Amino acid sequence: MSGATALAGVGTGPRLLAGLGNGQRLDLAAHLEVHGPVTSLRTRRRAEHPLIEAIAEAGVRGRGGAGFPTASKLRAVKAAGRRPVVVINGSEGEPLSQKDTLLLLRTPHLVLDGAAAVAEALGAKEVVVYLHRGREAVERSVQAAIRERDDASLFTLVAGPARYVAGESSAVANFLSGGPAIPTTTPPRVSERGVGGRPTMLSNAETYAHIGLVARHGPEWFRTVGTASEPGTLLLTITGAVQAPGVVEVPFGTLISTALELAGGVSDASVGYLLGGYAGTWMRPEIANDLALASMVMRERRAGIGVGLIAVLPQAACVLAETANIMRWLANESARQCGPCLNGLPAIAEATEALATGRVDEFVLGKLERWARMVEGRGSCHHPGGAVQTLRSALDTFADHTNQHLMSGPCSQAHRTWLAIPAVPTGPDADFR
Amino acid sequence: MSLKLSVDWPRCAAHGLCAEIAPELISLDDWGYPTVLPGPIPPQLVRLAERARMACPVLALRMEQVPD
Ligand SMILES: Cc1cc2nc3c(=O)[nH]c(=O)nc-3n(C[C@H](O)[C@H](O)[C@H](O)COP(=O)(O)O)c2cc1C
Ligand code: SF4
Ligand code: SF4
Repeated sequence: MSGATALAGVGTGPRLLAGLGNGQRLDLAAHLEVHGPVTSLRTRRRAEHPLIEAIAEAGVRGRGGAGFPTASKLRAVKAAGRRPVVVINGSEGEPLSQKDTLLLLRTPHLVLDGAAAVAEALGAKEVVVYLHRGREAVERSVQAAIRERDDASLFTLVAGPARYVAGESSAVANFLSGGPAIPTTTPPRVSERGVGGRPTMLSNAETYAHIGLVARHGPEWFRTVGTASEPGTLLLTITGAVQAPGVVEVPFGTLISTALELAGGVSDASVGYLLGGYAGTWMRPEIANDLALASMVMRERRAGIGVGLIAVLPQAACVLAETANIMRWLANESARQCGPCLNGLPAIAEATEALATGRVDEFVLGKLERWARMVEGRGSCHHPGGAVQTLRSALDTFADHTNQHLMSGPCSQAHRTWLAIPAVPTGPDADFR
Repeated sequence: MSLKLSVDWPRCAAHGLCAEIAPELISLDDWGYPTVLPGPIPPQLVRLAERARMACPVLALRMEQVPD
């Protein structure tokens, strides 16, 4: 991973990124020096395992995109009653995101500690570290970390197809059960019936890293930063037109402008930020800068923190052209098993491309909104909904620019795009195997 | 509890039979895939919904109890 920098949080020392200055990687000895050993938490109520209670009191939320309360998921797995499997989702299929990769490369033991503590709390005997293929450095780092540990036999590493939807929870469970890495219809949820039909605790790598710290320091410590409804810190990948792109750690509630300063500040005037990922929200800089990284605040702007990503688009860029590329990529990444997604995403991509780089009349906007409504929520996973979110935010936020395209054709920037789009997959990746 | 219709998307092959049988509950989108009436099935249409569910050649229509 190039150019990733680990910067301190604001108003607090870094938590997950502690000890990672100067490009360090924490092997087991260094990890224990920085974070200390995991000691047993004391229970208050004894109604449930002390770790689950601590995670509930800490208010840990999943960092894989949806921000779901982690304790609720743990309780659902526990309630399923059979011996569960624990899965660390390290697939990080979002093209611009680097946070999970950074953790697994540089502080893998924090992630493994969290998963080991969860396994103990759930009575699980198996933890799978799930990655996307082709990230050899991450695989080597995780393997090396596992070998150093007393509980090495708990862990296995599995690399699945490098496809975006392959990181969706039911797709991961499907792959780990011997099938293709494509989502399955819910219910059942993986917490109930996942890997090999067993209850499965599947969370994002960053989520486990936070748990690794809750297991050490308890919930009161966890809540000393962040907001009441979203305590703690989060990792953000900041990319694009900033001086020092990379991963930063900030408390929830931090202003977006403050987070951007941690990445060296915006290097050029910017036309817009893409927040949360390619399935995310476009926003004007002057509005986004004053926004707090808090779901409640962002929801009012119809945005979300998503996977923790801010892409700063330079002034000399066309949001429509970027969005068209993203729509095409998301269409190509469809698992092509649900009719509306299979047909709708390519139709949306084509119309967005026409709007960005061709000559079209205003009927294209009606068509796009019609198809957006037709794909949203009509599939086995949230992939189509994510695409629609990006599309709508582009058309709403940049309505003036869109009108300009409609009136006078493509703008002068429309044929040069900035955001990197991964290549069309080949080999076993092509069929999610 | 009330009953709700949903589609098992990977199974549904756009045969469209469901919409033919229960147009009150199901319409087809631009590509021939069903859009089901959101919310609970009105009690007087439950039997029709059940007929549509049974008519689907690939059993892609689901009828589930949902909490009110
Ligand atoms: C299309 C799609 C792709 C996803 N890709 C990832 C991914 O790469 N990594 C990840 O952790 N979660 C991904 N998710 C979210 C997972 O389904 C799941 O919610 C998450 O891993 C749960 O972890 P958390 O509770 O810690 O957030 C994806 C979801 C969707 C709909
Ligand atoms: S909605 Fe799309 S990406 Fe999700 S499972 Fe269905 S076809 Fe695959
Ligand atoms: S009858 Fe079945 S396969 Fe055909 S459209 Fe309806 S749900 Fe889909």
